[in-house]
Amino acid sequence: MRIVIIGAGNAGRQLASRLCEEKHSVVMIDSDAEALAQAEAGLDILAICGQGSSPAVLEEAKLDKSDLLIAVTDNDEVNLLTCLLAHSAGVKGKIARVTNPKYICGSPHYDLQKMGIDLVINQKQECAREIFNMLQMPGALEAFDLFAGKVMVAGFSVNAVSPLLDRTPAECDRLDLIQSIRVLAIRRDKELVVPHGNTVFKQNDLVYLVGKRPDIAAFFAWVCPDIKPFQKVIIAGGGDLGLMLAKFVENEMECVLLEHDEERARYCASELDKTLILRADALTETALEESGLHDRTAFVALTGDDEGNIMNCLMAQKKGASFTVTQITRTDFIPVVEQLYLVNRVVSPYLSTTNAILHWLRSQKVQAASLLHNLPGELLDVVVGAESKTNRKMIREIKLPNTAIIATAIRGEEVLTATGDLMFQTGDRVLIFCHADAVKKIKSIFL
Amino acid sequence: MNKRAVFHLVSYMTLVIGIAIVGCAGVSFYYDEPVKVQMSLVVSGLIAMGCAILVGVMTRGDINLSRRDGFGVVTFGWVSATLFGSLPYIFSGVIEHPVSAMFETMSGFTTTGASVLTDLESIPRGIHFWRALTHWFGGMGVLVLCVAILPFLGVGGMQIYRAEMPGPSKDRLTPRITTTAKLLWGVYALLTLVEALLLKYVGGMGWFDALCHTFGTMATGGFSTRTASVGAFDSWVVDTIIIVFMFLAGINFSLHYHALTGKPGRYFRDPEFRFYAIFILCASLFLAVNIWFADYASFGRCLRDATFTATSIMTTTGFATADFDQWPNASRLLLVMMMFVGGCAGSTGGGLKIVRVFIMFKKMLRELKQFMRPSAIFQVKLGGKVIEQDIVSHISAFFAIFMLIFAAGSFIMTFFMPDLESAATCVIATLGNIGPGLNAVGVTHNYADISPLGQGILTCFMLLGRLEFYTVLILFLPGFWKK
Repeated sequence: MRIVIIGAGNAGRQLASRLCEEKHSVVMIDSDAEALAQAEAGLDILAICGQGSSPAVLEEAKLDKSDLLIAVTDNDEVNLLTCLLAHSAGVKGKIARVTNPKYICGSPHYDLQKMGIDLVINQKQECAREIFNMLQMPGALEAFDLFAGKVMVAGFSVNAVSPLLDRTPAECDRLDLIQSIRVLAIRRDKELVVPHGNTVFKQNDLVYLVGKRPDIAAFFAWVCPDIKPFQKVIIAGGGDLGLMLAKFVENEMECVLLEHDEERARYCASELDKTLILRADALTETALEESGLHDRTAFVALTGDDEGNIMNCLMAQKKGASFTVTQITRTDFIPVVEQLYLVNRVVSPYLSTTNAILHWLRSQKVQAASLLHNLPGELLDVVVGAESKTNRKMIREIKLPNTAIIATAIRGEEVLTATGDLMFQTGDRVLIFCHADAVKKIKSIFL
Repeated sequence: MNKRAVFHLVSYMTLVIGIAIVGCAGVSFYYDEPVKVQMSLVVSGLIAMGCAILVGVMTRGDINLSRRDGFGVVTFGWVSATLFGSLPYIFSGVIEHPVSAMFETMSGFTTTGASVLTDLESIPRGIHFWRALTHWFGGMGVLVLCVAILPFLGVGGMQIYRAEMPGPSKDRLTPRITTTAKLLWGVYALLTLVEALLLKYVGGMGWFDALCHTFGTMATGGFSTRTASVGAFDSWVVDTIIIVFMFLAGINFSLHYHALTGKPGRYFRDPEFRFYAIFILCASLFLAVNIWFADYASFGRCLRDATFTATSIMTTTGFATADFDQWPNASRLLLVMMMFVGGCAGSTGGGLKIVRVFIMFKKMLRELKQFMRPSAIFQVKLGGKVIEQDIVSHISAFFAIFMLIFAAGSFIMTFFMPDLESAATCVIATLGNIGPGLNAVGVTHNYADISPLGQGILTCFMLLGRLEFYTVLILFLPGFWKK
């Protein structure tokens, strides 16, 4: 596919690198020559310097001959306008990122899809939803539902107090819990370990599981004894993201929002009903005390200042917060913060955007379940076709790439356990975890 | 530098070379040549393939090339190609001294066309074919070929492409470098096919001569199968076909691609092409008139030889139909100056490249105007587009390096050559990848009389010129080898 990406920022670069890995032709446009040069140095892309919404630049990029436009500049208007131009040029797929939530109101009279924009990504909303999921299942590093809630995928890291530490699955005392779920993959020091029966869990392993929701919940209660459930959420920063999160959270838990700017605080107060809004600088001890931080509290730092967010979480931990989440916009910081275990969870709006776009792309042919943050791999949701090589085959007869593992399968309403003698039928939905470069191979095997 | 990944890629390239040498053994078998020749090709090919597979297996793993590694791959790739490529000459006994054999191979790969062989008619055809094939591989670049055919290179492919393709700015026909490399090689192969068919069916050459000369033309190389070069065929049809294809080979190949995809107007919109065409035209006319006044031959003959020589020298091919060393001094000097200019960027030609000369000229005018109006702002423009300041300064530096190496090289070569003219022109003829120079390295002479040390130095010049200095010289910076 020929893909034009407008915007060489974090999201643009991340998307380009994922798309290049899948051997797509990528053209990148940005008006900032320096950012563009940086992107071009590490990626096999054609870089064009110029404003993305200018027809002359789009002509040079041969947008009319491209299959997909992804507009992810910082400027919402440029993103939307470029998509409209692409629509007039007859480009099949158009994706725009929008950071200002006011552009999306849900009224049928002003529908962006009718104007030809296939996917409008509300970056803040994607991110807020992700944080909300984390707060609901704190033991999991990542957790999301699949197949309308029938199956759930979750990841956690093995810590010093974990009952799994230095054991193979068979040696654990709660074998019943382990047998109810399936281990998808393990990341150990940046390497992907494909699990089998005698894999020993080591400290700091990132383990990904798949299973039914209640089974996973029970498993987490056993495997993460150190994280206590909490009743209160404190959000630092009342920006768009903080406000949106507060809207999700206030109906489920007690919620406090800290915002320094008076006018913004007033605005937040007018938008929210149950949340307690405090006008205070979250980076002060008095503010944290006033918000009523105690040991059954989750603290979420969502200001625009990465360093401040990290410090804020550390301060909250010192005050006894049981769970901390920080937003980090500079993607270069993320691995460091994660490796040092400074905070419990890191969220990045760019990663949420990248995920949302890749999901949409995959959904064109192979239904994508999700992309995992911490693993160099993807979860594919494929449907066994009538012509497929796998139709009427047992799992043990199917030759898959080494980096792929069949997680589970769904037939009608029933969730099937992926054992070696499971025979696939036409219409089965199969969930497969695999490395990014095996995606094509898997597609060719199943479709 | 990531040595493991670099040598892994070099091993792939060596494998390609090995396969090609074994392929040339096929030619030798076809013409039923002595067993020694056949075996020399088979054994050389097998040695290259064996070493390639051994090194390739030893260094297997991830290939993640940084920009620096790209330079390493290209330089070491070329050195390795030259080492293994010289084996057939040595084993078959065609060239005795290993340095001379390497000179001949490097001259082939860099499309120089300078030769140490004195009697070409006595050389076995298998060896001739390998010699011509080195031209063809080197013309568009062996590593660019690898980028086109090896699917797994990704970003690494881009680094290699950058390091091997000549010219100040590298065109991208498509977003993916693999596709760009494929298209360029496709255009190159297509033009090669057309020329070979024309030489065979219109020019009346045999298949063997037609192919060898086509390889020499399209790569702007200059190795012929005859001692008297193209002049040996003494046919105006052959001359014309070769002139046309030398001219085409000296043009930026992305323009050919655009023309083939239905946009021939691109040729004339390109300022470099216009300059190139006009320059060759004027130079041909000047040479023709100049030698006509010197009572060389009839005006028709003068025009034919002048056009052939001008195109051959300007595109840095080095084929000859006439001994231009006998021409008046004005003509000889003009030809030497054309050696400096060379072909267009993105072509298979060598030299400084027209676009660089053009930009330097404009820059010079700009500086002159700036002297008159110190506070005025002047931009260097080419075809209506502003040339970025850093590209201009990069070109100035390139110019300086080229001249510096030319000066230093000429000085060194005075120890090996009988006179100043030969010393200076043998350096520009190798540095610009042309082939023939003046006097002792003129059209009727060759490089066989130079001592092995002198040949070795010229071999280095050919590599420096083909890879445009930076790619090779960067290896000598101490920081390059550090992690």
